[in-house]
Amino acid sequence: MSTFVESTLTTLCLYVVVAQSWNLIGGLAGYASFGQVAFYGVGGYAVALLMLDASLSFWVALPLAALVAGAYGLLLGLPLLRLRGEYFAVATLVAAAATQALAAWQPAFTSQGAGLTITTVGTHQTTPYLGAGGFTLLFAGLAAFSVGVVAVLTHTRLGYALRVIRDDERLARAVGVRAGWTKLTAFAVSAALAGLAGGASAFRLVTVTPGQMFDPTITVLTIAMVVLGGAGTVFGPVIGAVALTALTTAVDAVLPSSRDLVLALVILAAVVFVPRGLGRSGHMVRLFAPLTELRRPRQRPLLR
Amino acid sequence: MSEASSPTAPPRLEAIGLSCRFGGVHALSDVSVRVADGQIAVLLGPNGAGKSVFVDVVCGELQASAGRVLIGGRDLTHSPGWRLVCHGVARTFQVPRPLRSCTVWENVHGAASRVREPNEHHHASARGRAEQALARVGLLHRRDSRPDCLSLAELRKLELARALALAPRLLLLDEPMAGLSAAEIDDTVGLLAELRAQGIAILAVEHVMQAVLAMADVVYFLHQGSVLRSGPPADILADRRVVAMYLGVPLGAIAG
Ligand SMILES: Nc1ncnc2c1ncn2[C@@H]1O[C@H](COP(=O)(O)OP(=O)(O)OP(=O)(O)O)[C@@H](O)[C@H]1O
Ligand SMILES: [Mg+2]
Repeated sequence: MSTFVESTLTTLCLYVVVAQSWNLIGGLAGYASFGQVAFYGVGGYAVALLMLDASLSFWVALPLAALVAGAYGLLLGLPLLRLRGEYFAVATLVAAAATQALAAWQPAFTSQGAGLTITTVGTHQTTPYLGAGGFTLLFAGLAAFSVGVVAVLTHTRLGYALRVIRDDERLARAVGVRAGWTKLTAFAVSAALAGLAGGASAFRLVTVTPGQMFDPTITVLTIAMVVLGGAGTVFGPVIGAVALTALTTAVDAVLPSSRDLVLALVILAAVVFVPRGLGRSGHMVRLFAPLTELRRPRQRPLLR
Repeated sequence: MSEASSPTAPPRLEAIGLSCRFGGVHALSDVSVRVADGQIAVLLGPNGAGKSVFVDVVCGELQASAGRVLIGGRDLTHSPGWRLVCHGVARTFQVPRPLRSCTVWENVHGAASRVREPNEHHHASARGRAEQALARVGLLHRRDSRPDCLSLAELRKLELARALALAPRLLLLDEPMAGLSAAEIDDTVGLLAELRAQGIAILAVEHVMQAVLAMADVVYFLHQGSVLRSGPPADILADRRVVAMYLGVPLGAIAG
């Protein structure tokens, strides 16, 4: 395989992981998080610091980073999951920005703006660099894992609980769903998945900077993928990731400077014209409901 | 459990002096209701009497400003709604609330998977309970339909099936027969009588007189948030005051 194909595949698989992470909280539970990159960044920094300061092997640091990101998810989720809809979206956006500011401000994380560099050569290396092919395999494995996590969760009692919370929290209480805990669990698992993706990316990038690990574009692109593919479904985010990765790769090749503009237009078109996602007639995320209501007449309840 | 069958067992539901206020509106004031295992109590009253509010307070959806709710003798007044399900309380809503993104089966099976009966230890039992609940209400043939394709009668059955899937010992039914045809009402009355025979305690808000007379063991007549009268259905419906309030006409207008 050429390096180009390998790196494109790696990026695709990376986005599948982050998209599934978002799908858990935004798609299944209906809490559209705009701060998912915070957990990605925390995972990335955890891997870098654990490998540098604790001299841990990457294979130990990666699961630990997922745990750290999951714990950070719990910490943020505790106050933020009390909010709903746009309020939750804005709060997560702010939380992610604050996390980035914290990372940029902490000298240990930035080494005066130069970023942290994971030792990949010499006697101090803890794990040999994986190389293009190795990273493709690693990310493919993580992508398969994330799809598996969402598939399993969808079919357990937690999956049903999340759906009830998304559609009708009052009904959730009436069938014995403890909404607070259920949301928190989903948010923590979602954060851990994002942390996994960020951790693996940090090793791939070697040098991590706050600007790169907390880049809000990652969140936006991820949300676009899930919404385009079908939020709340198992394979929708995969379809969305393939579609948008193909698109960004193509635009980068043809019109590199107009990438953001083209992306924005495609996302807008997707929200308006394929509101339920390409993948299936999956449920729309609440946040975009006002837009979809423009096209579908609101259903009148039978009673009252 | 054995406590239910002993004569000194506490009632399944005992609401003592419940009050609930919305700002200045006294939706409930000092309402006491008792329902024993294997008994059907009917809550009667004109629109806005506070019947739905009572159901909401009992199942933890609304907070009582005064009074207590005992379920099987246990004080659950301040328990959150989800916890009451663990204590065998299941409800239906006046306006059916199915999950529209799920099929009939997913609606009922999902609910069944939320509770575990003491002698069950496999998720196969949730499946069995869901199937049984759907069969009981006569909705098994619609298991793969979406709620949007159901008639009102079928939606009411779905509400009931979802509640039954939770293996309840106390059923709170908010107008389970509103909008049904006479034949459908008879079916539901038959089903509720069967459930009563199984020892389930039922509190039903009901307007359909034919059903009230056919199934109620005891009727509570609620007016402006207070219990005006309670007793056997025949007595309540013979009360001129009740009839006048129910119809919203002055007492003198009813020939006695
Ligand atoms: N959430 C609320 N906020 C304010 N007032 C409320 C609320 N819910 C109910 N009420 C008031 O409480 C009173 C009782 O309402 P409730 O819904 O219990 O009536 P009901 O007996 O169920 O009537 P119906 O037969 O129409 O269902 C009404 O005056 C209603 O306006
Ligand atoms: Mg009512």
